[in-house]
Amino acid sequence: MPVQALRTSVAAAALIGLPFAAQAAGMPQFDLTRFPTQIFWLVVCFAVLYFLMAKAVLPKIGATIESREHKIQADLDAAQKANDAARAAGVEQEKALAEARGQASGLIREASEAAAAQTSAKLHEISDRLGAEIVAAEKRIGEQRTQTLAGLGSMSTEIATAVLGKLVGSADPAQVARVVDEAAKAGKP
Amino acid sequence: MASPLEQFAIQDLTAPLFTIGGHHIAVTNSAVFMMGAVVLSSGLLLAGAGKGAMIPGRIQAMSELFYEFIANMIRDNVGSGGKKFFPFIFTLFIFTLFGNILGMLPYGYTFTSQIAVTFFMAMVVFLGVTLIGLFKHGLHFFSLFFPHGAPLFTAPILIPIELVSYLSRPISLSVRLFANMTVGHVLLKVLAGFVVALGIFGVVPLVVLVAITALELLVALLQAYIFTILCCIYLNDALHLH
Repeated sequence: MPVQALRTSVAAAALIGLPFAAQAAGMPQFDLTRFPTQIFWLVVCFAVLYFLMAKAVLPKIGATIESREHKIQADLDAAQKANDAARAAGVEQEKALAEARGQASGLIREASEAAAAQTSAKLHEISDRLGAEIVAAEKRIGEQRTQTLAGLGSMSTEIATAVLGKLVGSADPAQVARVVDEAAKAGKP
Repeated sequence: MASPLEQFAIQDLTAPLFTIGGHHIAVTNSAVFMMGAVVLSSGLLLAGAGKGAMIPGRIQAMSELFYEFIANMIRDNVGSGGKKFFPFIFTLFIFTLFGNILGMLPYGYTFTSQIAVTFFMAMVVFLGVTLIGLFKHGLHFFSLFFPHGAPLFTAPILIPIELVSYLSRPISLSVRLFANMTVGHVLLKVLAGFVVALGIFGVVPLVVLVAITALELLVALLQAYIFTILCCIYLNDALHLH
């Protein structure tokens, strides 16, 4: 920066040449007779400023900054507390929810188990009844069959006796019955 | 054309008010600007401190900025035990800053461009800091002049060097501020002379003048800061040695 360079060179020249220049050009700054006045006013002004700063300005600004920091800290603490409370409530809620969910699923399981048990009991009962009915029906059929078969033998004997009577004139029903019986037994596989 | 140094002359604006040790004390142009700096800065800061609102307004925000700026400077550079000197360091900064800035006003007078002022402030700081160090550490304070851990045979060289560098502190501190302010104002005055002398071509130095005015404002802020922070560093040396 040329401005900076210019300034630096002037400053350097001034500093090097200061003692001579001061004598030659009569720099007012080196006029010792004007020192006491300046020092007097400096002391007075500085003292007044110091007093004002130390007694009035700085304690007040310091207190303001401190109270602001306290307020911010308090607010942050309160926010943290509220956050913690909200988090705790959330956890509580989550727990209650989980409990309720567990309870509900227990109930559902119980109900479905009960329903399943009922169904299977009913099924059992029905199948038992059906089984019994089947057994009874089978028994009845067997009886009927036996009856029918037994009826068949006597009917054959009668028919054979009647046929023999027509053919031969007479027939001994007992003998016919024996023969038919034998034939029936032989015909049976 | 008037000499560019004329602006630094101390002029009595009133008849001598009283006499101290044979010296007549009158209100001078320098004194007026010192009082102006005191009135302006304390007025501004009092207004800023006044309400103490939770949410600061502009002036309060600026006052708090100054406060925190110096508080941080002391915390960083002085550390423990520095809090006691906060009002003094703060006053030093504000006084120097307003002195530098008021000098940038047209028809303004820069009392910080006076070696009498800067050297007196530097001497007060230097003597105060030395006394604080002596009270706090007693004779141990003189270990400041011999770096800890340096070989003993280097003492004949190191001690004079350290001593000279210590004793030259008030000179370097005061001359830095005084020379910077003086040079800046001389430069502005010389350039302003060119603007007038060159007629229509004076536009060129005028542009440079504007740029230098901005630079001088920066220097005014910077030198107040440097003056204050060096005082903090000297105070730190006295409080904690090396």
